[in-house]
Amino acid sequence: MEKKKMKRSAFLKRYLRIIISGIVLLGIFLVAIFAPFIATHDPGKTDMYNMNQMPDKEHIMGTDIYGRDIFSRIVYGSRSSLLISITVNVLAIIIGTVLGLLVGYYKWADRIIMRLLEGINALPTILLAIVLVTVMGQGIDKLIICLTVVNLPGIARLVRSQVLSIKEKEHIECARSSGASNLRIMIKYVLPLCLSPLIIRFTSGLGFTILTQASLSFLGVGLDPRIPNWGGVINEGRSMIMVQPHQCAYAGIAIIITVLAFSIMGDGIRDILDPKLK
Amino acid sequence: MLRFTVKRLLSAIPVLFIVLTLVFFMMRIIPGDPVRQILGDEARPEDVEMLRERMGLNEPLHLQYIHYLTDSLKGEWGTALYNNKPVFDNIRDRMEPTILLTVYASLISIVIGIPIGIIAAIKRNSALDYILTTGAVFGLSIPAFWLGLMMVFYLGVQHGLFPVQGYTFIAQGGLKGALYSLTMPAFSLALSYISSFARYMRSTMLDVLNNDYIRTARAKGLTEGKVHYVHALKNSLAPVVTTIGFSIAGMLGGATVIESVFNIPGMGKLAYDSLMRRDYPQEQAIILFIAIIFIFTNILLDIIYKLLDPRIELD
Repeated sequence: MEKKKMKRSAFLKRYLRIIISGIVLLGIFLVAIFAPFIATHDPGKTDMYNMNQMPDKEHIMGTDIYGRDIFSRIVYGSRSSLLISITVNVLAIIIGTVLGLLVGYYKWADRIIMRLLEGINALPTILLAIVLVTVMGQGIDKLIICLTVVNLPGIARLVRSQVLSIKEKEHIECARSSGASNLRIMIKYVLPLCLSPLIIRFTSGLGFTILTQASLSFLGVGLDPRIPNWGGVINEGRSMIMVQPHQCAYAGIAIIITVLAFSIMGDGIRDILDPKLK
Repeated sequence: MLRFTVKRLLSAIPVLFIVLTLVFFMMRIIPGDPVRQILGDEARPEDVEMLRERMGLNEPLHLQYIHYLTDSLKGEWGTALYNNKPVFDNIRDRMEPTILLTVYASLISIVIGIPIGIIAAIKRNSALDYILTTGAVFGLSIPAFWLGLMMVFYLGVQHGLFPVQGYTFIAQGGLKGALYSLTMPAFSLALSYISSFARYMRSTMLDVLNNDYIRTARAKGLTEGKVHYVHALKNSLAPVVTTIGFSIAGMLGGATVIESVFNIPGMGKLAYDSLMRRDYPQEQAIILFIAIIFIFTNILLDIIYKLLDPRIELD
């Protein structure tokens, strides 16, 4: 009995952060999925008779400068934030891993691709994202491509550094001498050893992408302003910041809760997969 | 050390060349005709043609690229389309607030973040460690622009502690006045860096504290203070310096957003406005300038890193 209790408390200690952040994230995902049932109003419906309303029973988070219900816009905003963040990080991990494997394994690729990625890295992320979004134009798909490009150098460098150390290991030497092709070695022997840092990078990248995307929407680039999104809600409320800070406050809190949950989840996973980094 | 510095400076050349190339092609594929943007849709075709010729836009792309490279290397970065002034003059006019904001935010991040990391590492697994590390994760999750807006309302409007908008140039209000006007922007920009420096400092310090020489120092009978601040701190600082270098690029980018929140006439705002105006020469120049600052700051920090840890070699 005592042993069981100890096991349970060790389990809780190890997984507590993942469980708590997982519950919060599950809640946010459910809000995004069931947004039409949770939102109290149509998020895009303007109402000139109800502009800049303070929070009350009808509009629990008040209304914006166009009379739109802020609560409903935040509820619907979770959809674009999660969709963009997850898609960007999945794409960036896939493409970044392929690039990282290539540059880590082949010297010629290292010379070309790494130099290009270093060039991209010399530009601040948010500035590069603003330029790319302007180059590509508005739209969720284009924003996803831009944010993926911005994330690539970091992931490629991460995989490259793993590959450089893994490829010197004996089991790779062994596979090579037994006639395994480069592709087989990369996929079967190198890639599995890169997975832990990639999983850690994926979870921490989710929160970072939400912040970058919100910054872009706040500046008015990236997403069509008619699509409800958290950065956009803050941007729309900023003209009223002196008198009605709640127009910006709630969307910011939504961003903080989501990013915090992703970060805590990332830290929890990191501590399990790579305790050295704790 | 001289060999290291020269080698490091030479390694910046290909990166600069790639940045120049990237910036050129990104600017050329932006939708929207810059000539139409300047002259408007009602402009006469002959005027459009004349300006196009003057801006060199009629040349084939590869010739435009070669001219752009040679002009950039000669330091002829062109004139801005919006006010016809040399682009570098516009950058020079906007440099002060951005540089001061970045330096101010960096100092805040270092002065607050690094001691937090050290304390958390020394008091590992204590209640204080949990509070500080949780606080650091929280700080990383707050969007800087949102924090800036909240500060505008609570500290600026409600309590009247700081100006809510604009920037006081050093020539007008002295360094003190300039710093005062940048206090809220610098804090909102710094918060996430305070958190990341604290987290990074904690983990490198913990790594160092596990080393054999620390055990030896303790075995010698040194006080805990000496072990932490003389032996562990110096060795933990070297990798943190590299993180600070990368953060400076992030801050220069973050300045674009923060300058927009606080209406500061800096380089970030110029970069954003130029892009919205499709002002190619100005935008190219500002991105290039920010990249050069970033590259050279990193070289400087690598040299400091080498001074702190002479074992470091360039691969």
